[in-house]
Amino acid sequence: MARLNQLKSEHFDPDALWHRVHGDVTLLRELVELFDSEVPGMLARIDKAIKHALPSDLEKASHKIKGSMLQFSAHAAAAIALNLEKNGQIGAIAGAAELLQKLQQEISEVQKALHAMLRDGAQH
Amino acid sequence: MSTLVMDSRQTELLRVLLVEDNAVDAKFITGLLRVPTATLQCKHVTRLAEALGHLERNHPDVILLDLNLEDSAGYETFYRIRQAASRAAILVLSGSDDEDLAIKTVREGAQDYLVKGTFDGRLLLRSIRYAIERKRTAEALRQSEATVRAIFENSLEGIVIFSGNGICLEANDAAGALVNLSRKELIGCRLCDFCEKGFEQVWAELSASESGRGQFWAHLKNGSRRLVDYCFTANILPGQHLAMLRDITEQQDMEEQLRDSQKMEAVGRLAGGVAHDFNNILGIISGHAELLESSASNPAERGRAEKIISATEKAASLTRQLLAFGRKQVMSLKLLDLSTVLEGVSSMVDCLMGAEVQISIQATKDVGLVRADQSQMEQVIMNLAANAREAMPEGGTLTITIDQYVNSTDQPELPPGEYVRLSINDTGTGMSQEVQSRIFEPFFTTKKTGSGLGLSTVYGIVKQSGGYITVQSEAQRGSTFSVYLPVISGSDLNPAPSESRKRSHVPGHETILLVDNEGDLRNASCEYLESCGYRVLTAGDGKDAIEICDRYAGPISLLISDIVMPRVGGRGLVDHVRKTRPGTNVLIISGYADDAVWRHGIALDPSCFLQKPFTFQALSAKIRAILDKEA
Repeated sequence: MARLNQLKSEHFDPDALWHRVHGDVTLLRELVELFDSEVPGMLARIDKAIKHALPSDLEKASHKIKGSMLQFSAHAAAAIALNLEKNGQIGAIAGAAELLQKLQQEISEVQKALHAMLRDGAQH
Repeated sequence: MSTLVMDSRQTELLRVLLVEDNAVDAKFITGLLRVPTATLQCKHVTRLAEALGHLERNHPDVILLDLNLEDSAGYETFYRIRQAASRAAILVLSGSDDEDLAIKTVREGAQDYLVKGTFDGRLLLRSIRYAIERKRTAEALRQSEATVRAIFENSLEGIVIFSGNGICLEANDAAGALVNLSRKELIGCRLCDFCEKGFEQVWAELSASESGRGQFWAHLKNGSRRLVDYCFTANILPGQHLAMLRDITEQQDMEEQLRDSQKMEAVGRLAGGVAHDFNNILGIISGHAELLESSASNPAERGRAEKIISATEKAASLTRQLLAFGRKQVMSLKLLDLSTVLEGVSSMVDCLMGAEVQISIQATKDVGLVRADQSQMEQVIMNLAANAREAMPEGGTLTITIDQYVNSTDQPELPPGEYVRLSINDTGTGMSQEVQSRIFEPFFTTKKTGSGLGLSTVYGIVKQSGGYITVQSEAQRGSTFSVYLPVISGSDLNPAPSESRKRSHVPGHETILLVDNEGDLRNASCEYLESCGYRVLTAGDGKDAIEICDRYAGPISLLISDIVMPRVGGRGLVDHVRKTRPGTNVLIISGYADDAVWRHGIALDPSCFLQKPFTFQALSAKIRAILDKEA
């Protein structure tokens, strides 16, 4: 059983998340399931904005995923999303694809950690 | 799971509108607010248009607002929501830790700005409640400010906020009107610029104190001045003072007029009282003088008696003037055309003016009738004419005007109504304001030889006649006295019964009960009446008279009685006589006017009254008029 402190990294703060949801596993499960279903669409929107060189869309889509990452205390993913948002603000599409790839990897790691939290009953 | 401790305020159902287009974030927020679910009613919308539509029909307590939506972004989102929901608290929930945006939205009316991922349910719920409290406080403050502003702007009293050195920082329209300026003109002015010299010291003392009240004269740019009552509160804000100002100039004028009027009334009562006592004394002198005259054995004695009688008549004339001022003179009221009265005395006015004064009489015809005593009106004209003559020692022009005057405005010195106006204008020396203010006081005179009763008599007569008198005067330009007497019309046009002036010495034989506490007058009258053939019973007061009434077996044809007497007064005596001897007639004699008789509660025909001092001939005639009428 993975404990929260074992999941903690510079990318993700499960302790902060746990406190934020007041230890409500049910709520956490609902949030994770919703995130799992929503995140492909959110990433696809960023990808589309990059491929079609639409900075405004890139800014908006990145801002959205950044908010969710902040809510999950996934600071590394939020930081990458913020960089993408800034790229969108200044109209810099170049380099955005690489950032998106990093974001996808980070989110994948966060998802694994979130599922581990749920699987292990989120015990301290 | 943590438990939230809630007070009664927290159990209140809060209506929350969540505007968030990120499903995950929305789920986070609603999930965090799930504790305790019973106190929240949350409505979730994802677009600005949807939120605005909801706000048209609903009034949430708080709006949780994400600024970046599909159909709106950033400050624009906040601005539109705030416009649509001015009464709701707004809590911005943003994914951007943007300090500038946070400050801007809070400054523009948001109650808080929270960054996503930095709050848990407890903090969010607390922020919501604080936001609502702040909004309610802000709304109460706004309403309070609106109320204060309405009071400030609509107050009839001037309200001014001054800086520490007395410069007007804010003022309402009433304050501006008080010094004949617009509100904008008043702002920036110094208070001391409008005040008398020395007010700087008053201002310094006020500023150093907490509060104060007082009055000052405000000097206006047009040269006029207003008396201002102020109420001062220091430091309503640091270095800012509040002054409430009220123009009491007219109130002050009214109070002065009232004081003058009360003073005149008091002097009038005093004059009336003095005249009453004098009349009794004169009655004794003239009565005995008449007896001396009738029994004089040689022309020299008769001549001396006549001189005494003549002197008492002059003295009686003086007391009549005093009584007129005190409005206690017996009046013979009838309907008069003042033009006719003026015609009657015009030749006397001519004599009075002499060759140096030109006379102009302008009497408009058909100006209406007034109810007054003719001889008194003649006296008014003569006294005013004499006063005018005195004011023109080097000659000039006397103008006497009679016209109709309709007053449609309510003035302290002249109520609305139709009047016949008698104006007497001279081109003489005029009077100062100080002299004008005292001109109607008895014994006030600017002349070395004047009695000071002329104008006070005029005043008394005019007041007694229900009229008004005004004076306008300017030094070296002359004076105008205007007498206003109400026009009598319609049902009032019934002439008042006039007293017969016929006086004659007629013998009699009836029994008379004569009651007067003035022993000398009583004895003289008794002697005279007995000489006429009457049987006279005498008493010194009402009690003795009642005993005589009850004891005397024969008829008593007439009771002649004074009013004010010790033990039992005239009223008690008359009541007793009317009850026990209904056939006995009554004649009241008094040093007061007949209205005093009615004040003492004696119901009496005015013809059954004789004012002291009277001649015995007048008494004799009055007795016969009463007894012969009875017969």
